[in-house]
Amino acid sequence: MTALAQLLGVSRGYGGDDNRVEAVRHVNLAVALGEIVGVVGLSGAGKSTLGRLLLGLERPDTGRVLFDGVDLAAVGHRELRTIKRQFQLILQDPFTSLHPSLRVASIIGEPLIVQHMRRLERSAAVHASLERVGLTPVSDYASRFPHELSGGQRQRVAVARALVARPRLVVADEPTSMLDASLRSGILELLSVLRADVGTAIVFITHDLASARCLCDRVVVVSDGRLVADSTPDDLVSNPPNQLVADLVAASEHLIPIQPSQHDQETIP
Amino acid sequence: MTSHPTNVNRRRRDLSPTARVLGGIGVALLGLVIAAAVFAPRLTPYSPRERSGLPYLRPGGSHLLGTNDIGQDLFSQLLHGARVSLTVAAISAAIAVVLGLAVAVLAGYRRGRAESALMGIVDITLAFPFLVLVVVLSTFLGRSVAAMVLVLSSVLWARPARVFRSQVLKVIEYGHMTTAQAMGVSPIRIVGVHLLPRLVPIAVAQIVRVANIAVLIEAALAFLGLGDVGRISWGGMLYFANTHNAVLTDAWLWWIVPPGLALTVTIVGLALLGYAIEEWADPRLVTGAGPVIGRRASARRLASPEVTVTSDTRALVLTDLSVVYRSPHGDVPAVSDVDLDVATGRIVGLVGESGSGKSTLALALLGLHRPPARVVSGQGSIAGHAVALTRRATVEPLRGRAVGFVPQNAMSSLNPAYRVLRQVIEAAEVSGLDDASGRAAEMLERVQIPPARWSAFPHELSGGMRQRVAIAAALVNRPSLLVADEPTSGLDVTTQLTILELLADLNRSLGLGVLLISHDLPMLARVADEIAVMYAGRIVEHGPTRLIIDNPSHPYTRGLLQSFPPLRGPRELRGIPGDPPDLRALPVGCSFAPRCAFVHDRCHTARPELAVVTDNRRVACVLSDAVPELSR
Repeated sequence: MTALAQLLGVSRGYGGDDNRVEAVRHVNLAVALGEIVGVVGLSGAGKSTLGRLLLGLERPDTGRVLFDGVDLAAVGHRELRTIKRQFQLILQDPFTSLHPSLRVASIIGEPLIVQHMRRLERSAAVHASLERVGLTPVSDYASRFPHELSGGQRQRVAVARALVARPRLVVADEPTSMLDASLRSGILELLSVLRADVGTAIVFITHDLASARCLCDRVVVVSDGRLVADSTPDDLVSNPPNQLVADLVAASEHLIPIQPSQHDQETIP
Repeated sequence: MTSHPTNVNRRRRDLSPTARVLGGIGVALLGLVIAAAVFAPRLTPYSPRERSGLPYLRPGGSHLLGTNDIGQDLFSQLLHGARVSLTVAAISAAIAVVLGLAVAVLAGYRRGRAESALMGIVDITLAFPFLVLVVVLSTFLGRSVAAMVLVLSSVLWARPARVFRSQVLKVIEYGHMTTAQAMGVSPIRIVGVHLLPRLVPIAVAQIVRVANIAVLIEAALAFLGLGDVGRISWGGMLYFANTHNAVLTDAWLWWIVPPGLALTVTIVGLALLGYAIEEWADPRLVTGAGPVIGRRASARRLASPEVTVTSDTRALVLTDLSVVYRSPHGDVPAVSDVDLDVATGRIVGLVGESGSGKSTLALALLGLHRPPARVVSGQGSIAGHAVALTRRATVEPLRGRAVGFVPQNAMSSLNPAYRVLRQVIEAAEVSGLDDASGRAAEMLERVQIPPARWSAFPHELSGGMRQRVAIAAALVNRPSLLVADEPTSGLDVTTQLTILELLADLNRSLGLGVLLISHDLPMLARVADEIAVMYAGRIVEHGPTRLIIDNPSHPYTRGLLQSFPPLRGPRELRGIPGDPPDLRALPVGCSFAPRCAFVHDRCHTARPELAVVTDNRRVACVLSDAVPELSR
């Protein structure tokens, strides 16, 4: 497999000299077209920065970010925008990630405006994608504003926008973590529909190993800005290569009762 | 994540009654002034410059407000003066706000050097002594109306620029800006579609505010003799009245008071309108809905006459709780006929999707519900104290003492200005018992916060740590019951696990009854002794955790269990089809019927009651015996 998007020895930090935080350290990662890669880690591990680097929203301090072999830091603003038309980003918070004063149809159609598609084709495409993500009857949902939708429906709109754009790279940054747990499967299913329909590469960022396992072909585990594991999800679950992965597996063990640590027993006065 | 049915329209902008009244008065006052300016030629019999009568005529007769020292009609001057004053104010306000907007957008969008240069200019402009700058500028630029507008807008743009800038920085962080940038949307479109529309409400408020200042400065400049003497304005009238010694006679009564009043009316009108617009632009100003945790509980003690002690030792007994949301279209049922007990030392998990009523239940249970929510029925006992939930007064004295509450988003409802130890001490003082700080320290230790962090501010702690502080504050008075609403949402899985371990530990070691509310059934199942499943405001299944997990009876419970991505075994994804129920239009019969795979004719006719089936298990499904065994 040839790499579509690639991080080569990438580091990225924030803050001044005295309080510098290295969010990403010397990361090498390649994502192929049509591949779904899970990026799993705890809060603050550097997962989101990694996604933003892949999309050219951040520039690396050192190392190179390539898309289709082109170094994103080496091209001009205009050219970078042209490359970005092949990208889509799906964010965690469905309450801020959709423009509050645009109707659903306009939100989904925005990437097509950027791609200069004509109005008629555009509305047909928007219609088809709403149908695909199950927001039917389409005419009802198309004219709604985001605040008239539930959180789950809003994330469906975000996926519909990604569908319609026919991107080559999608970064989905915790798309399910603010939704009801019971809606996770639905959104994960839609992401696999997205891959099947468009053949895009998807980078799926999550802290939930179980979700990553059900969606991804490959999972990398990030800790403190470094990649600490890179394998198939089932391999990670059955043979955790290090303590961090083992902890992640333990935390994702659904339904299994926890044994509370036996502290000093105390009776209520 | 739970949203109440009333939240559907939360962006609809309703003004508070105060704002509506004040805004209305403002509009009326301004309307009066504007009408006077527009119809000035028709309302006045004389031209303002015409010597239409004798000097110093008293008001009355053909000269409503009398005449000045050269016999010009003052009523006519007053009305015509409004034209100049208002025009200058409106145009300079518009220019200043547009300029401020442009600078803010440019600075916010082009970060880096351009930003520091632009904001530097803003700061310098703001730092100059205001009136001195105006006087100097108008001396240089001359006295025409255009010059006046130029002077005013060049000093007034900087403050709106500051206000807009902070808003720009906020909007830039919004998700829809990032997604647009990620997909290569052009800067023009980003500014025009994603940024500017979100600044409009603030811009309107700023225009009113700046116009207000502009009216005053224009009058002040004219009064100082820096205005256009050939043009009649309110400030000009005051200038001539002053220089021609109106104050030495009683002519000031009709020469100085009317323009002064006109100015006052305009300024008050603009200020009132501005108040209403600002509230409209920022809906958060409508109600002071503060966080629950920071509120001081009432000083009533457990011994207050509202509290009756029963012999029931269960941590919670809840019978027949029903809560509705009042709406113009009738009452919307949020919680219906709920019976639920929590035995001492047990953890009961209450699971449901957004809008299922689980958070409403918790709030009603604690008497913390707010309008439009209303408790229709419900009684029971908390730690042996009888409560009637239709009367908040019966629950209030128990809050923070017999029952502790960790509200949704407790992490972010800690007071950012106080160190965590102080917040726990404050909670400890509610009980009226001695040694609040000692008990607070003990509880912080118990939730495993190292003493080194006790003096930290909430923002210096991780999400998991903050959640521990919230739990410590809820438990510091050693309640028998803890109600925790989504205590793990917003935390990563590993931190979730540590919080669950803490709750299980506290439950054991303190003999605490816990009502644990969450949308995450697999997570609940890790600590709960019993699970109650809520759907559309009703409990549809309730029983021992093991039974519910291994052999769910209600199709909804079954769907919930299957809808979680499994960590092992086949990689199947099966969501529950359909949307969560619309409480405003629940179907006749079973609320879950439209989404149910086992739906039956009977489901559409009668609502199944929650009935005990086997093994202490309650199920509300007509097919509770007929649902095939779930093979896991």
